[in-house]
Amino acid sequence: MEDSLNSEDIPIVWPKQLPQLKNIDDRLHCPICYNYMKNPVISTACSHNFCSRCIRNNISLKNSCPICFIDISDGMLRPNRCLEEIIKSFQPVKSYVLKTLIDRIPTTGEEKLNENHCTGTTTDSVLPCSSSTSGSLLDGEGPPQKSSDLLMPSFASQLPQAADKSGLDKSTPISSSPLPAVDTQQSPMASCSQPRKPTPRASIHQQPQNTTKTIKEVPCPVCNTYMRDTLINVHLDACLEKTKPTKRKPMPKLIYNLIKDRELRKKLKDLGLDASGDKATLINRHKRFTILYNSECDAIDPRPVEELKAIFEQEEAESRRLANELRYASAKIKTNDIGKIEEENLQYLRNHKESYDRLINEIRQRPTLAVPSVQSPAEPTPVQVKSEPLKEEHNSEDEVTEIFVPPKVYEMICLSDSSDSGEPGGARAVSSAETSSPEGDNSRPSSSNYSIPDPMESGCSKDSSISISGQTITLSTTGSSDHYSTSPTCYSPVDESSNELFDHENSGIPTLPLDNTKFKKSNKRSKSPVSDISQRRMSLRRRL
Amino acid sequence: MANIAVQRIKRELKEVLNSDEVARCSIHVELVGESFAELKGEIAGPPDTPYEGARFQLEIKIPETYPFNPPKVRFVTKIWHPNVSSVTGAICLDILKHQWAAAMTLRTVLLSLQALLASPEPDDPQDAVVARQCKDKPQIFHLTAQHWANAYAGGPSINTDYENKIRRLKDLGVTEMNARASLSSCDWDLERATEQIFS
Repeated sequence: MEDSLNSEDIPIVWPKQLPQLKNIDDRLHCPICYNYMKNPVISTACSHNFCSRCIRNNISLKNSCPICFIDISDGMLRPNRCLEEIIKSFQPVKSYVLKTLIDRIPTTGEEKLNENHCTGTTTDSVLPCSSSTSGSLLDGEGPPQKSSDLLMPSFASQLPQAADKSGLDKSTPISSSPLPAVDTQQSPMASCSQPRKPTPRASIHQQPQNTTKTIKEVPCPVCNTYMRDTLINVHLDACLEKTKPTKRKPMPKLIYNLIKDRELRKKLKDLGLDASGDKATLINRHKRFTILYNSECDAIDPRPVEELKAIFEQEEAESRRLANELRYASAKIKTNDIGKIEEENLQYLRNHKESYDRLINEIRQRPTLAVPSVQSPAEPTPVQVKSEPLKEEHNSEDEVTEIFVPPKVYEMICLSDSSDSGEPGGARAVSSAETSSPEGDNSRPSSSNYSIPDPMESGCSKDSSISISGQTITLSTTGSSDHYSTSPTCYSPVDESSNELFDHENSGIPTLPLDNTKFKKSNKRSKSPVSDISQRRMSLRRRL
Repeated sequence: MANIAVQRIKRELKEVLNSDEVARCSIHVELVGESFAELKGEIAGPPDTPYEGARFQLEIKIPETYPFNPPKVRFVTKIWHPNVSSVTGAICLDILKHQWAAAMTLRTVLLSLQALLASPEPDDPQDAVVARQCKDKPQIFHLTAQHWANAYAGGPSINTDYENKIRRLKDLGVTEMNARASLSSCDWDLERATEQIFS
């Protein structure tokens, strides 16, 4: 049903003057796949015709005729040999017929076109038509005649097969006399093969009779064709070969619910198919192969099972590829919608891996004394700097940066701390912090301690951030413009364990945990800071 | 896309493009993108209906299992119709659901949709508000549908009364679309619509 040949026929447009011709052509197409029917079957319930595979596919989804909605099942399908013959004969001459038609329409007019149209429909109408109209037209249609001549051998061999099927062959064994043979040939002819022109057929009917008189001929015991006795052996072999597969029985439909995985796997293996995947895959595979196999059983000469398997595997691979593509595409859309943050997070991590590594190293090189104080400022400050300035000022920025602020601020604090170990950048920051501390003494008591509007303080935070990396600059500067940003600087002097500062810090601390708990809701990381602060407080006291 | 689906769509496109309906400009289909998975449809409002003279855009998505399963069709153009959601454009039509048959085509689907526009089924509604209006106040429904067709689908008849009401709501800071939807669902009662919007 997916012949590339057929799809090339699509653009052909029948002349508008002859809608009947188009109708005939349409009737030869499967209403499901829209190609010329392949192994056409007729539904005995409603007499609609389809490709065997198409309708079987349809029945596997819905037990009704796609055209009239009447209930049908696999058992109601019978191969429509007549239609098959029509399609087989019509397809190769279609383009020719069309071409001649189009060429003749302006010159010959309606009458001849009607004649042409008649040849396509039924033999009953063909006979009077061909007799009434000029023979020149038929002569003019040389190629169709030729092609029908060429087709005759296949007719001769195929039609008796049809007769065999319908049980007409009971009379054929008595084929010593030519007459009964002609009878059996004629009966299917009359009923089945309307598409071709009658004149060549008539001549062929006479041929066997004529030739039996002159040349010694014997009937083939299988297909009942007469031929020279020298050819009979070759023919018989071919004939037997051809008729053998017609006996192929359709595979039974399984009730998959009653079959265990193992059995199903075994069945697939026995068929020579892939037996991997979950049950749904197995069922689907078995179902589709059954459809393919059974549809092939409707063919006059079914293709070998090996070929079917190859076709099936090819289709499987194709559908797998499509499914993968689909999955990939949908996954892509998902990351755009939901995973954007995740993606950006990873990107950020990758971009700043160096600075992280450097900071980790710095911390490791730090004297042991500084370690507890490092941990403590690291946690609480990020909470403040991160959640406040970002939420208030950088609404446009999404969560990615928010999540990643803690490490950045952590960096910043670490560096300002690391001044202990003599880092140049950090030292500068610290010195500025120290210079600011006396002023801080004055300013802090007056203001609430987490909102010190000290220009020097903010300058300090800027300073320290500059010394670290570009990333922190942006953050800390935004932070410094906000009054909460003073908190990191509040802490950094404390880390220097300056006594006066600590006193201030100590007095300020009670409010800070409150501040932290406020941010707890917005940040899961803020869980630790509270305990860290108390830890830090303890350590500072100890040092004092 | 499965081979059979692609082939079908190719043929159907040709069928539609060669059909009389396209010649009369009453339906139109075109591909969206390279794959045959999505198409854009267009139908003309049928004559002697409030939709006359308007053109409605449709989004057609072809499933992998086409033609054994129906295409997914949705109105892109807003429309006031009992069997089409006035918000999402979802369509309630049996042949797009359980009554689909493999022998149906894009052309038959589009023609069915045109027929649906011509004969609304308020007893099997997609949009309950519209359906109620269609049953209880057919006159208002007709005018509303006409107004929507004019506003969104290029319909010819302009209803100045409705326009004025929308403008008054717009003056209150309501978007035109919201104003129209609210007024339509309140049978163009300005007070009720205002209440609905600001409650």
